[in-house]
Amino acid sequence: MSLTNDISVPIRHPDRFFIGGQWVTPSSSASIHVIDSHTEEVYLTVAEAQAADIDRVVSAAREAFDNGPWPRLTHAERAEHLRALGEQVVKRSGDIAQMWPRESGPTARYHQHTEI
Amino acid sequence: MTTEISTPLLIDGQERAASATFPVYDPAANGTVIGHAAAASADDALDAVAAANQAWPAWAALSAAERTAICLKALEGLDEDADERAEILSRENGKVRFEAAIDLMVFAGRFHQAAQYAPELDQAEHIAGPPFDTTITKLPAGVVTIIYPFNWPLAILAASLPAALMSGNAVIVKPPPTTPLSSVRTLQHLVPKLPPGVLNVVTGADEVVGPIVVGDPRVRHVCFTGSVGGGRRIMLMAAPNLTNVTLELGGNDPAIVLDDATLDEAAVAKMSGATFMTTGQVCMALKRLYVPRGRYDEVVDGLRTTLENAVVGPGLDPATTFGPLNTARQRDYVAGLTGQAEAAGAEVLTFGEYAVDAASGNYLLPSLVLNPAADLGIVTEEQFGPALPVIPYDTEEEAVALANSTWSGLCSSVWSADTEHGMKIARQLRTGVTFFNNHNATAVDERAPFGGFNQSGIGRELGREGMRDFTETHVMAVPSQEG
Repeated sequence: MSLTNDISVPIRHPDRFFIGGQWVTPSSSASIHVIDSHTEEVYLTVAEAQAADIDRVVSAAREAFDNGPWPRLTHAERAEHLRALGEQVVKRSGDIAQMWPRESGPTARYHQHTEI
Repeated sequence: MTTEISTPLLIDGQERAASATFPVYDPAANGTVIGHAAAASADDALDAVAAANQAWPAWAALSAAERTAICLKALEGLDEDADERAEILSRENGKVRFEAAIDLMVFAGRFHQAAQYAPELDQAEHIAGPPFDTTITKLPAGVVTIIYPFNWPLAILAASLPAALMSGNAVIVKPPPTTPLSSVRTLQHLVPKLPPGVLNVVTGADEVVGPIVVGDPRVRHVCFTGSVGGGRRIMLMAAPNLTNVTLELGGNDPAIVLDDATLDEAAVAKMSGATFMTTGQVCMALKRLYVPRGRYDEVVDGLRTTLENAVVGPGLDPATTFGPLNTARQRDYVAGLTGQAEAAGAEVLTFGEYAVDAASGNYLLPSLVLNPAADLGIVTEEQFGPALPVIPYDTEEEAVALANSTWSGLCSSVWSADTEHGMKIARQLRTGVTFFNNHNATAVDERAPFGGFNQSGIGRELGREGMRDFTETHVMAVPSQEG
């Protein structure tokens, strides 16, 4: 296979955070450049959380734990959710195999051998 | 008993007289010195760490069964001076005499309890391959420091000491500064019967001894029982070396009386004892009482009956039902909380009488605080003294929410004639232990792990979990041989 500099990243909302079950707009325009380990060029720009975003996400997690259904499910019910999650990750492993080598350096070959 | 008691340090199997001592006062008689304990210097504390560090590998090389047998043998002869040690404990702590005797009994009992699990550490866990034939063992942490409080010193020390020793660690014990004498007298029995350095005892000032017995990199686990603030300081001191901690801290334990509770004389006596034992100075005392509005007066009247004959006096006086608080500072703190509640409009009922001049020791009459606002200190803080807020509620959902809305999470209790009903409420409570129709130390199942949620602590003591907390898990993964 060949590595290209084709910057088509299969991430839907790199400029947002996923908080409380929704893609939300960050409190600021601050961002983090993810550098491609192969080219040392910017591969992707993602939103950088500020204190206000952290407050928001901690509140959402607290709310989900205190009042949401998750902690009140049985272990077996939660396992069902995790299996469904795992299936989706497997489905997208081709995308992930493209991203991971760029952001952290392992070979795509290595990734495909260690995928879930 | 008028003779002054003095106690040494115990380091590397030897008694050592420190170059300085500190006085131990009688909380029932202002200014009276009971005795002196050795004040360890930084060098003494370093010697204790070095002795423990030298001792643990050979101790760890014994089987858990061998260590357990040695520890149980070390208890022999403890009964001989039990009366004298109980009297010393009563005098330095302030607690009534029979409680001091119980404290000593629990000390030995917890060794025997731990002895039932310790030999299991000799059994490795195996996971058969392929891909690996893996063996999982529990190795001792190495050097363990145990720091514990004045209120039930020997029982609390023994919530961790047997597990720490039997699992193969060498231990440094730092007794409480206001009640060190009964501890050292007790540990003097054990030290000569254990290999030198396996058990070391350093009394002294927190600020001198603490940074060494907690902060030295050779110490690998610190087990602290005490205040929330103390726990925070211990964790900070342990952090630079990433030393593991077990923290058993304060509580603000809620009790929820359900509308179907049986509140006969025996039940109310338990409730009262669970609140006021040791003059309220117990981490897991009942500290907030939630009562259905329809049964409020009944509960208050019941508690009144248990308190109106309270005799507040010296712990050694057989007529005393409430000893003094251990320190004047704590007496003033509790009095401040009830004073604040009264000023804010809550009704404060005070019971019993002083058997001696109230100003002669750290005395305080027991009290109930009726209908306190939810934000008053008597409700939100740990009073750690003889005052109980009694709070009415309308629905069980409200009671559970109030019980859980706290920084603490040590224990809780549910009072109901119907176990199913009680369990339904108990499952919603976020505390390490929930008692049923009882509360406090007498209700603890010694076989089960004990510890708190939230700021009441980290880790567990007692039971198998308490034993595991003093070990590290070692995995040996051998690749399976190809068939």
